[in-house]
Amino acid sequence: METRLSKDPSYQRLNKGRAIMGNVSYWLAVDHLLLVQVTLAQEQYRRFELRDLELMVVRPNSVRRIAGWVVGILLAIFLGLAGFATFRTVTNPAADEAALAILAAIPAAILGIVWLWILVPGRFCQVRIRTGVQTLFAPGIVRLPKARRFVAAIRAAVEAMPAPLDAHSVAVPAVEPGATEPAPPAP
Amino acid sequence: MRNPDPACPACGRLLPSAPQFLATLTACPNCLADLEIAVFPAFGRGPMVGRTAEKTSGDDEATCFFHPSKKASVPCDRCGRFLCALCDLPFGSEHLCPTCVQAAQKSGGIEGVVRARVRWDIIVWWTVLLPVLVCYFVLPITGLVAAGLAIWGLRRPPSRVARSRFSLIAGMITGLLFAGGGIAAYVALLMNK
Repeated sequence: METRLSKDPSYQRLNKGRAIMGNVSYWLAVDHLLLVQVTLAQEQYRRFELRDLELMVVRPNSVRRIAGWVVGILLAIFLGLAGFATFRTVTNPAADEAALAILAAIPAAILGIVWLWILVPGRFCQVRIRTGVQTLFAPGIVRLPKARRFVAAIRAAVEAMPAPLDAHSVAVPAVEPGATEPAPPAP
Repeated sequence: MRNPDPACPACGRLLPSAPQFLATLTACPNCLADLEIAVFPAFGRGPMVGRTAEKTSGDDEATCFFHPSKKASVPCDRCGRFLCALCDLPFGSEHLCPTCVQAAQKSGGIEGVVRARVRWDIIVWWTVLLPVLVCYFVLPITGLVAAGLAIWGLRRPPSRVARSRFSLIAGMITGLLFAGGGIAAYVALLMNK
């Protein structure tokens, strides 16, 4: 039985994101990228050899702008309602609309948090990873700044890999037929 | 099968396939959707060509177990069968035959071919915590079940990246504490009656 308690030290986590019924994470090793998808209690692995990666296409989309506007308008409505009810309660105590103010302020606070979550971490995007035989939509990488950091880390890892040795990359000094061995240096 | 030329993820039309042009592309030439493309050295290289097995030249040469007419180049590190260059599947420092790789896919014996693993620690924690939220009076039973599952999980291969063994031990201790606490509570109730 293996007694190791800590995670594998050869993997460096690049990204972590949410998925349906679980999460997705990307781990970088010396020669490959490991995509780990956890669904309920099962962990599934996809391995991409760095030498096989051809392209990474990041496509920023307009989800942030549209969602920002929709949530922003709803936030403005609830804030306006809460402000109006508070104003009415303060200026005319007989109206007593404190309950309405609280009822409007609670969704406004929730919408405010959602609005910040949409706007602050950056644009939404989709990432596709292309190898020689497949093109895969990369789940869990949904924000542009994170996607850029992810691509930069992969690029650095690919550049740090040693070049494969093949017949063309190994320079063999040509020897002329009939050429004699050079004389050893005199002692 | 070779992957076809790259296409725009927005409109699906083909993008120019010249690497130097792709690397500088900031938008799709057809639909003008924003794109950021990272081009790696493998792009345009084409599929890697595998090695070919040599034919044997005589009776005094070792031959491949799977291809008797081909020259053996290496023995399988698991079963010891002689393999030709075609049947030799390198996994890290090991050379394996297709049969051993297939067997390892089922048993999870080679890290590189493991496709999925059960996260026993997640099951243990759900078994520990769910009754706390739903029906706390079964805690003595579920705590013991969780401890049993944790012991079972410790005998199984761990997660490749998460600290699943640490989580399993923590879950087992919590389960035992909950079971002990639950049993003590039941005993106290019975004594009071």
